[in-house]
Amino acid sequence: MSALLTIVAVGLVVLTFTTRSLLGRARRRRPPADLNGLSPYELAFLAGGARRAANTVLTVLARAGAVRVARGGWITPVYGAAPSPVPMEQAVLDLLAHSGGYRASDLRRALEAHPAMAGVVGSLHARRLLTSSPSGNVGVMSVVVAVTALFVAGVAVLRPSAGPLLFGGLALLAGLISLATLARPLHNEPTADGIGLLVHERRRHRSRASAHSSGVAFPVALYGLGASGDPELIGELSTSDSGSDSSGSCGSGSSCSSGSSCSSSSSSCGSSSGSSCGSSS
Amino acid sequence: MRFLLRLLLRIQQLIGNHNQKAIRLTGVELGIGIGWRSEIDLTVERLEGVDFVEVIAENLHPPRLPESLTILRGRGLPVLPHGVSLGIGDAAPPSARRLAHLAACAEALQAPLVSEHLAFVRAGGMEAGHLLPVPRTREALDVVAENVRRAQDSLPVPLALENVAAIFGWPGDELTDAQFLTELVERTGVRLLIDVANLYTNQVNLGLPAVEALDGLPLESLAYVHVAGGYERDGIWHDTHTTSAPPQVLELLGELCARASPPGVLLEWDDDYPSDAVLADELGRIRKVVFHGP
Repeated sequence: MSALLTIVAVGLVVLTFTTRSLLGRARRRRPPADLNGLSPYELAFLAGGARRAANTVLTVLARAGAVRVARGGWITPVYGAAPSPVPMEQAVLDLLAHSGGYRASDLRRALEAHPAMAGVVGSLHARRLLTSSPSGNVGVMSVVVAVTALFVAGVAVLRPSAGPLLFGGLALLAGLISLATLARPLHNEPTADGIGLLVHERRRHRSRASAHSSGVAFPVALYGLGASGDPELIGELSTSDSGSDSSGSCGSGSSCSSGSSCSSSSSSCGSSSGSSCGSSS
Repeated sequence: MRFLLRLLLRIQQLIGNHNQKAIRLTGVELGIGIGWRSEIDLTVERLEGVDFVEVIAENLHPPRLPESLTILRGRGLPVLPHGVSLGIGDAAPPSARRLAHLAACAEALQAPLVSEHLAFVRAGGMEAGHLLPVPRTREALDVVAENVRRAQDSLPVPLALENVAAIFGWPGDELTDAQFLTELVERTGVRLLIDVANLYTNQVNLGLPAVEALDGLPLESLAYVHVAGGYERDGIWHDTHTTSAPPQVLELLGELCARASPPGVLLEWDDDYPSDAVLADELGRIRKVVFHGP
């Protein structure tokens, strides 16, 4: 009887690991994905999430002269910039138009919560290039764990013996670990097709880049800000997360312009926080 | 060296001699420049053909200069502090604190000169909030000349004064703008920052002929020139520094260049900043007028 229980326990170990393996594979492998016509922002999200997508759109707009990046990572609208038909780009233009300016880190945060970014994510989900939480998988593994737990409990109460308890315990432990892994929301991570697409695009970009230089959007989408080839832009877009102040100059809201006199008694930047300047004359 | 330069200026004031050679001893060839603003700092750094910049002194904290200005200085570009609140045209003497700040800016930036407006900005504890014109009377000239001398004594580098734009003139003016500035230069040796956009503004708003003004100005004391754009509404020209300079302003620049060789010409753009390409084009338009005529 003990040998039979040991065999059953070993079987449970095998069942647990097999289930874990199958569910894990199924989790990443979905029905064939739609790989056509991916925008640079979708590719950027796939490669580096919302931050990469935001950095890509900021780089594209800055290089196109549609937004201006100043030292301290301060981003302002460019007067006269044409509207963009691309939702992600228009989202940045709208945010800047309403605020007058953002630090890069704040603009990225605002953009991550913007419907345009949700549109990018939605498109990637629709193309089955991003994962979403697989509740069905968790259910299957829960059944396996429950069966194993009943077996271990039964053996422990009715017929305690080392072999079945050892293998049953092992199966239960493996099942619980697998359950915890599967229950972790694998949200918005590339599916196997998504990863394959990235590998393909990077290979394609490398071969194209060797033949002729391409625009800035795809390099930044695939490899990050460093691929923009603009060290000053990289520096300003990536350093403002620390929230540091801008280089000791007055912020845009408190500076004096040459067309008016600064009317407050304070005359240096350090003490001019409350000063406003008269309109240009 | 600074002492010698000051001494030279003082001698010049005493003998009333403002011949060109003496002035040029303090002169600096500046080239084509643009007003540095924190919003466009990286743009200014990256624009080609920028030979010098001007920064609003009131926006600076001399012990902690913006990184961008330090970089520009490191490249050897002159950075000129430009004050907007000294009130050299006030009835009261300019404040020692404001002068000290302007001097500290000049020192920190190793500027070859500083500039301010020939404007009246406060009286009796009230701030105008604007650069108001000075009454062009002999009495006012005495006061302004004394204010300029005080400023010169407090500053480590030469001072240049800018003609302002106005939408009104004081009643009882005894002198034209050019006469007032000429006498001021003769008495103090102060240098001139001629804003051709302001001359144009005064022509439109006050009917003061701009070319006539150029003819009367002591252009041998010219330190540099401002160029800017604005817009007209209901017959009033608003010198906003937010648009391209209109052809009329560039024609005035051409007229000025036909009469003198300005050591520097600077584009002012203070808000509604366009793309780098537009700013570069604007500098190109100015360069073309300066070197090839309108």
